[in-house]
Formats: sequence, structure tokens, C-alpha cells
Amino acid sequence: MTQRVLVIDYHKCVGCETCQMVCSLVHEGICSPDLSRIRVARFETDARFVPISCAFCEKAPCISVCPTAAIFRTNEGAVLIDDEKCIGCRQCVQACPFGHMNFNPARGIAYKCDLCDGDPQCVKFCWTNAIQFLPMEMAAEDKRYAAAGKIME
Amino acid sequence: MRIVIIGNGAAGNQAAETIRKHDDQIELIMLSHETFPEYSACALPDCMAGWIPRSNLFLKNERDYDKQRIQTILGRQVSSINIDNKELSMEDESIAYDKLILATGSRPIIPSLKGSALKGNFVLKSVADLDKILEHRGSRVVVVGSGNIGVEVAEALEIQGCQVVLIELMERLMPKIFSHKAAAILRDTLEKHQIKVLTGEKVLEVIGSQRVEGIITDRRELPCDTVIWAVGVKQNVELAVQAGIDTGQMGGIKVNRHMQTNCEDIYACGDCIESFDIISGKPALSLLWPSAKRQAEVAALNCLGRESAYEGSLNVGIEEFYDTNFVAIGLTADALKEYEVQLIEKEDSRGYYCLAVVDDRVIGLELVGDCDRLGAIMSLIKNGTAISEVKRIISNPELLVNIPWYVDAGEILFS
Amino acid sequence: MNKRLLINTWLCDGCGLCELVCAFSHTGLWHPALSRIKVLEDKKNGLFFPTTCAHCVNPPCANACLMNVIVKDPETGLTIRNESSCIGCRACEISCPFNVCLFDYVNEVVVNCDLCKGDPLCVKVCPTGAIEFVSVEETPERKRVAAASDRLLESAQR
Repeated sequence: MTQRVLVIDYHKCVGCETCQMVCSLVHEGICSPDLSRIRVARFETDARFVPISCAFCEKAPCISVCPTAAIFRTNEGAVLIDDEKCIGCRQCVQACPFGHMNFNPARGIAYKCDLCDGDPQCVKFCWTNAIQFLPMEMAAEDKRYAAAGKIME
Repeated sequence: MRIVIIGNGAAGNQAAETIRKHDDQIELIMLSHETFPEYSACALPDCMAGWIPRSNLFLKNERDYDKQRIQTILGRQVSSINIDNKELSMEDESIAYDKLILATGSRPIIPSLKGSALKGNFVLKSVADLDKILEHRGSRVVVVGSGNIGVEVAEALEIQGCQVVLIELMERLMPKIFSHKAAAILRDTLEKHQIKVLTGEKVLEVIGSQRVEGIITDRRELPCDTVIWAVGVKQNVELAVQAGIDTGQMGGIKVNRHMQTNCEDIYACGDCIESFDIISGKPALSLLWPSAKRQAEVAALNCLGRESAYEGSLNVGIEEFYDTNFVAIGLTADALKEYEVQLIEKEDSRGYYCLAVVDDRVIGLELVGDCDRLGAIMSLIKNGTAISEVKRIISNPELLVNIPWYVDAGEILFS
Repeated sequence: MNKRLLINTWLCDGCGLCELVCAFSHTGLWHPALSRIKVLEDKKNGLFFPTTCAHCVNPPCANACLMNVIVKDPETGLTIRNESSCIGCRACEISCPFNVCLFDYVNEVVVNCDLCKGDPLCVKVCPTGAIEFVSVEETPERKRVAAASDRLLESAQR
């Protein structure tokens, strides 16, 4: 079973933020974009919306930076945080190149995408299919076909 | 719900603090056989040396306990615990509990040798001990044992103008945490300051008629008017044993990773428990203030129904003797015997250090001198971070930019 | 709404002004060794990394302190100390994963960045903007927008 990752095509994102509603609901019990793991970066003037979630880097900077080894990788490839070990130093927030790592000031711990235990909900609810949960090898498939299509024209 | 804590030291107070942080309604009762409010036993030698006033020893006053809504019963001994009725007995009073946290600590040992009960024999564990020693006004002191307490006391009394002899049974000073090189530097430092150091020597008898007048070792006789015993502690587990609570092979109360004893509603933390080493995973007695606090935090969280697991104790010793720092972290000295260790050793104007490396990981450090770059190393030891990983990051500025403290670690590991 | 120092490491050119003013404002001495902000150096690549107290929510230094001197301020969330009770044992210093506790050798106590009572001096004097004073909630958002902008820019250029 190959590792599946979130593949986000921001061209398809219309900025509805349903993913943020669902993510926060599933994880925190309330619809609150502020508590969502996936966040949409909005560029209103360009009408561009870029959803940002965890890239599940092979050599994750967040894992390297954490001073208490609270962030770890599972066998399935997910990158998770052990809440108990997190000391709230926020170095992971600074280290993530994509700005995915969030910090919850009320709980004093960092939080991030956990792939919803292998069944990511944002994928289910994204009606434009901007977010997909694909095996790594297939992640480039769409792009390849799109590029090939252009070449063939 | 009522939670009762037996013990008013680091562990007892941290347990209370953690409970209050999460629940300000729960009834909290704290018991101690001492009458003092919480004090730092670690700072007793500093007070003895005259570096801090006696009042600074106390970390809390009565008002602090009131503010935290902790009902204290001080100066009373708990005589027994009835785990079936969930009741503590004290002389003529009984206290019921829903959850009980044992933080009974440890007490220092005076070996039963001839003369060891004479006036002039002391230990240093409590404020009462300190008061007695200062009142005694000794001038020729023999300190027996060169653990942290022994050496600290030797320095403190020498600074106060006493003639001090430090006697250690093993062939080097602070043998539990330092190997020969660091121990030798320590010896030099102490001897330069007129402390007479005798190693590989055993005290056989304390002589005197009404009071201490000297000691006899297996090599010589020494006149003195004070003997301070710093040869180790015994854990206060009698109450637990009597109640049917299991103890471990090392003599401390046996707990699982949730600090729970074999009795469901009874937890234990601090000096009185058998802990386990964070690196080796083996049972260990971690008689350290930070260990006590962390264990207490875990015990308190579990008491409140919040899942929390203890990660194990890390040996950390930091001392300053005559303006020189002596540090030991992790597995050092004899604890390394069973490992195939590679050493990273260096001695220069900044001092001396020696890191023990097993499997690309630092498992222990001994250092004398400048100690301002060690925090990053302690993390590496605690987390089992590979040295090759540190090297990878240091060699790549784009990675190093997020983890700049590896620069410090790199200076120690790779220079 | 609590603010913390945000260090844009790549902007630091190692001028050391932050160290000087920090030391001076706290101790009256222009001595970088007394600064709570420390600029580390990667000599090989000519890079400079300012580091200072992160004000961790659950700080290792507080656990290590043998006198329980280090606590979290309930209002600001900062890691603060009762310096008069510090015995200078340096247990906190060796427990800080970032090496940002400072041993003040003049007063023989250990100290950490106190954010200058809410108006940090290093932020004011930094000539390159390498140090900013930003709300904790804002930081992830800024990084996200920056990363997303880069991505948009890349694809626009293609």
C-alpha cells in the first residue's frame, strides 16, 4: 500500500472554505476557520485561493526543529504531533516552508493536518475536487496529462 | 472529589500545582511531618556557604497555600494507610481520600557505626539539619561521601572557614557521575582550596566521649569536631509497604508510566519511587528536583483522569565548585560499562568535555568549564537525535536557518 | 493577541546592535556577553542567526529550576523569573534546548529575554528588520501567504 498524500490543485479552488469548516468541526467540534488545519490563503484582488496543508515532507523541517521530538512520522507516512511532548515553543511554525504548522494559543500547543486517521474529510467535502488524496506516484499524473495535452495541441 | 498528597517537597507541591491548574474546585489536602512550608533542599548548601539568606530557602509561605486553596496539615506523621477504606490514619485522626498521591521522598542514611550517634554527627537534607549544623559551629569537619551533597557541603564549610576533610569510599570523587578525568579535575580544584581529599578510604568509627572528637578510617585517625554524612538516602516507603503497595527491586515504590501504584487510586512520585532511565529504559532512582516535578505533573494529570505518560528520568547534574562548572548529563561513568562507546573528548582553554556516543547518538556528557552551549546537547541526548542528522543540518544553511542552536551543538560535536 | 519576537534569520547581517542594546538596557554595560539575544554565527557560510527566548508554553527551564523561580505570567504568557531567589545554579541554562538562557556573570543569576516590558528594543534598533514583534496568531498566516505567493508567482512566471 503506497503512501497517499494530499494533492492540492489551487487552480480549482474557489475559496469557499468548506474544507476549513469541516476540518475544524471534525477536530475541534466547532466550525471555526481559525482552528482548521487546512487553511486557504486568499488573494482577493487576483481572485486566487491557495489551500495550504501538510506536504508530508520526506525530510520534514518540523520534525528536525522540534526540541522535544514531539513531531513524528508514522509508518503510513503521516506527520503527527504528540500533544503531551509539545512545549509550545512554536519553532515548527517558523520552520515549515509552507506555513502549514498552526499554533493554538489557548491550548499552548502546535497542531497540524493529521490526515484524519487516513480518511481526510476535506477531500470528501471539496466539491471542486481541488483537494485529492492520492498515492504519491499518481500525484503528478494530472499535471503530466495536462502538459501532454498542451503539447499535442 | 478529594485528593490527598503526602509530602510537601518538590513532588508534592508540583502535584498540587498541576491539579489546581486544571481544576480549582477539587478538594486538596497536603500532609507533611515537617512544619516548614515548601523549601528547596537543593539550596541548603548555598545557605550554609552564606550565599543566600535562610529566608530564601522557602519557596512558599502560608498565604500561597491559601491562595491555591490547599489545606495543609503540617508537623504530623501519617501512621498508616487503609487502602480498602481509602483512609489515612494520623494518631487520633482519620482522613478519607478519593485519590492519594505519595510524595514521601527520602531520608539520608547514617551508617550504624560506633560513635555515629554522638553529638556532632549530622546529615543535610532539611532546614532543621542546616540549623543544627550551623548552631554546632564546628571548625574541623569531616564530610563522608562525595556525591552532590558531600562536595557541596565540603565547599560551603571551607568557605565558612572550617578545616575540611572529604572522604570518599571509591577511588575517585563523585564516582556515580564522573569518570576519572573529570573527577581528577574536581579533586585538583578542591585541593587547591585547602580541602583535604581522601579517596578509596572507608570510615570505620567515630570517636569521642560526649561528642565527636575524631574518626578512624581503614588508613588513619583524624581529629575533628563534626562529621557530616553524605553517603546516600533511603526512600521513605514504609507507609506504602505497610499498606500493601508494591516496591521495586531498587527499593522505591513501584509505579507504571502513569505514576500509578499497584493500588488503583494511589499514585506516587519523587524520591520515593522507582523510576526508569530515559535512555537505557532500566529501573533507576532519579533523586533529582526536576525529575520529582515532572513525575508529579504526570501523577497529578492521571489523578484528574487526563492521560499522561512518563517518558523516564534523565540524569542531570550541574555543580559549580569554586567558580568552575562541573556538568554530567545522561549516562556517564560506570553507567557506560555495558555499552560499546565511542568518545568525543576535548580539552582546551574553555575546559574539558567528553561525550559518550553509541550508535551515532550521544548518550552521555561530562563537562568541566564553560557550560553555556549545553542546552542543545541535552536535547540531542534526550531525544536520541543522530549526530549525522546534526551534521546534515549544519552543512545546509537552508536547514540551519531554522535550527540555529545546532551551531552550538556542532561546536562541541565536530570541533 | 500576545506578541512574540519573530526572527527573519536570513535578513540578519550580524551587526550585533541587538546584543549591545539588550545588554546595555538591562545591565548598563555595553557587553554582548550580557545580552539576552544571542547572534550565532555560521562562519563557513557567513550567516548569522539571532536566537532568543521563545517563551515556550511549557518551558523546560521552569521544570529544571531548583528554586522554582521560573513561572509563566498568567497575563502575558511570558516566561518570567523571580530573580532575587535565583541561586545561579544554571540548571535552566543547560535545560534550554535553544541555549537562550543567559548567565549574567555580574549578578550571578540566570536571566532570559523579557521582551522589554512589551516594547522590545532589539526590534527597534535592528537595521534590516530581521527581528519583528508579531502576534502569535499572525505568524502562521504570514508564512502561508508568503509561501502561497511564491507558488502563484512561480506558476505565473511559467
